[in-house]
Amino acid sequence: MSRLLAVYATAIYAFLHLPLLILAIFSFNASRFTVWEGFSLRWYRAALENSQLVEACRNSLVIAAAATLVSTCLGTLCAYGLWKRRSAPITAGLYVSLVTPEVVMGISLLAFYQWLFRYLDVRLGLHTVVAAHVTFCLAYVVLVVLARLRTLEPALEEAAMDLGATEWQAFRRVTLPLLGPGVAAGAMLCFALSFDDYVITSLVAGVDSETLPMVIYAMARRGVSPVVNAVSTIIVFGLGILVLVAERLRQS
Amino acid sequence: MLAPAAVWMAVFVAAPLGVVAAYSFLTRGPYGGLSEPWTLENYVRLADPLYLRIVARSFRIAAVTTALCLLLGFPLALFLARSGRRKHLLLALVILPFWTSYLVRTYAWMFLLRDTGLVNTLLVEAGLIEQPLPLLYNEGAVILGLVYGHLPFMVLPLFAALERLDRSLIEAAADLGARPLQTLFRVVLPLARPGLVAGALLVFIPCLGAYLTPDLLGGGKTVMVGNLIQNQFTAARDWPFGAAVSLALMALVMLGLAVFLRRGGERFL
Amino acid sequence: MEPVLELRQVSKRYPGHEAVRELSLQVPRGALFSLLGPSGCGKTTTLRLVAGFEQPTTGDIYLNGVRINSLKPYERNVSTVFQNYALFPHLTVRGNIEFGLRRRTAEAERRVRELIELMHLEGKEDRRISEISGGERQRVALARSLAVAPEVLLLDEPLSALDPKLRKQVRAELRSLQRRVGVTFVLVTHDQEEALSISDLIGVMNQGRLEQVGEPREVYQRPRTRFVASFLGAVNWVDGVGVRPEATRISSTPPTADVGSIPATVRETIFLGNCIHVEAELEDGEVVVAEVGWQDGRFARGDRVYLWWDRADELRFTE
Repeated sequence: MSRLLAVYATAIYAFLHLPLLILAIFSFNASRFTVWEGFSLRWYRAALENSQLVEACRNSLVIAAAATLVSTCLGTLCAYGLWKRRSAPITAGLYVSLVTPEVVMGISLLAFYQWLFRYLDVRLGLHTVVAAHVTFCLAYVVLVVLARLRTLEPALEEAAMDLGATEWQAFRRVTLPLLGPGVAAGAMLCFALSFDDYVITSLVAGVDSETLPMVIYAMARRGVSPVVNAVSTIIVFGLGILVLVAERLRQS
Repeated sequence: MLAPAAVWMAVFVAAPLGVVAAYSFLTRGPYGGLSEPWTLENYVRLADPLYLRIVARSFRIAAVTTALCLLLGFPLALFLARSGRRKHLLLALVILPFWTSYLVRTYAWMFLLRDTGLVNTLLVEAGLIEQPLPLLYNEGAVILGLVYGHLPFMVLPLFAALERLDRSLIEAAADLGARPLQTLFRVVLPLARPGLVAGALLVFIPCLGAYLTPDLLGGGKTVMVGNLIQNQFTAARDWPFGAAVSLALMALVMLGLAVFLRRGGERFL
Repeated sequence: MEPVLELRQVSKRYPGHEAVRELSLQVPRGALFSLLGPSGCGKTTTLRLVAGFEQPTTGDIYLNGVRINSLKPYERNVSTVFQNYALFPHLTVRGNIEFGLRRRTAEAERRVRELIELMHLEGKEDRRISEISGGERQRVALARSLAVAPEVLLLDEPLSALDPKLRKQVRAELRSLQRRVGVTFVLVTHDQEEALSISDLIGVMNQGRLEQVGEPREVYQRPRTRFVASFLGAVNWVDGVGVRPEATRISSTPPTADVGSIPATVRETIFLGNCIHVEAELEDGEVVVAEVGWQDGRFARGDRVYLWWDRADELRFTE
């Protein structure tokens, strides 16, 4: 039976990884058709020369960086608070934001923004996207950091206070250093989620805050383009490395 | 400590949902905005056969996806639980693709399945078919895409449940005369049930609200609830109706969450 | 002389449960004071009250004559050695020991160096906590707590996390350490042998109350309550009077002197190596244990004997 399972597992792994591998391979295809005509970097060059793509990529990076910064701070504090004292409403709120379908979260934020804009002189733009991203990333950061906190001995902070550290000093000198890898892992997760988001972003982005997923989506909708293959490969590699590092940190 | 996060969630999660709830009782204005008469009309409209068909399709697709994930995922979880020292590496290999980019992974299937895509091209070259098969832009492709995207969610809880299984129980069953398949059905599966339930919920509920996969792989022809909602807020400009559908979907999702938490799903938070 | 630590009528109430009831005690400066009792008796809660991790519901705690009720743990000059040591995993041995030092004065540095030497941790200062043994970890915890020069050192079940074979040795080392540094130790334990062997004073607790405080010999030989008597060692109860097995003797003939005695039938003799326990059944069915040396004659099952004891060894209680 073990042999059978191993064969089966290999098949499933192939199923999971081949589509991306094939995409990556064909991104180096000299031809724009699905017949292999030799190795070429033309699609990568085309991607880097496409100003719309580059601009969108820059937007995505800026948004992801900002969202990560805010989520990580909010999320770490929230996880620390929950670790010290359970709170049913906050936990419920976090669960809700985890299970809410992206479409619903997107349209609810859109509706909220439009309602808000009747009273504030603001419009949809990068900031509305960042706020939306922070909202859906928050629960993931809390999840990762809280899991890490739960591996810590509660007596450690008490020991620190016993030796003369105030509550804040105990957090800074003992808990935070031990939490470091967890916070970093949460941050990277957040970055990956934010960078890749299409659904929510497309609903709350303004006219001149196009993100990379939005451009890719538009190109994919029009049909398959080899430039998309190239961009996709870059994204997958970049995010893949990020996630690997995050996993390593989380496990350390 | 908890205050900043609490404020954020109140403003960006609770308030928006509140606004949506309110909108669901309003009426569509003449130019697509909102207008006065507070009504239950939008909810009543959900009972229209046109929309019920969409709901039914969503349930059907979600159910089939869950079933397929279960069938495909269980043997994999079993393999992982028995794989000894390289367990975590192998598990990481399952999860890794999931965290790269959902959009790209969905697009990859477009690349493979379309008329001039790799699968068709290979089949034609091999002389097995003459005309390309319509593999894309149908319900089958959507299901394939959803299974591909959600398999890890089934495998993880199953793996956790199987890993916790006491190996000596299986040995005891063998000692009492049960053959491997019998042990599987009479001992392993019943004990892994919590993992099964968790996995099923973690696949079914998100699939109900799927948007991107049916949009790209279904080509706009396979309309699920998620697509319906998005459409109301963009092209159709009927926000009140979209809000009502959203709330209905949220109700189902909350129900699923409640069941998940009750049935002892892993307490993540 | 003023006691270094004093508790006056301290109570700690939780919803549905009173952990500490009107506890009053005084710890003399420089003593090794043990709080002894079964699990759940409130001894650890008492320790935490002194350390500042819990607040008394009523009553006052005085350190050097100053009331410290409202002071936070980091404001009290009291240091705790936790049961599992709570060493900081991200710091080295030296980092742990130096953690509580406010300023790197020359005096503080000297103290740290002396402690490292005293605890036989030389050469291990730069190791991580995960790289040292259980015994070494305890020594690091002790050094860390002593480095802040506390008035009182609190130890929560210091020997329970150790290998049973190490306990006797570490116990003795703890005692000699306390004598060397001269700091007042307050130790919490459920092991009566541990308390008896190293303490200057023992406070016996039961269900939140302090039943007796005294020197080891006094608490053992002149217990004030039944609980203290039976917790400190084995007791035979004969007609409401208690006699310890080692004070119970056996004779095949009725004793003639003015001693307490009672007839019994031998049920079992258990050879324990250094002594023999003879279990004898009284007429009312009660079983009594006499501890005898193996030179004191042999007894077999069914033998009719007389158990006798010195009147001075009787333990009588009014309850």
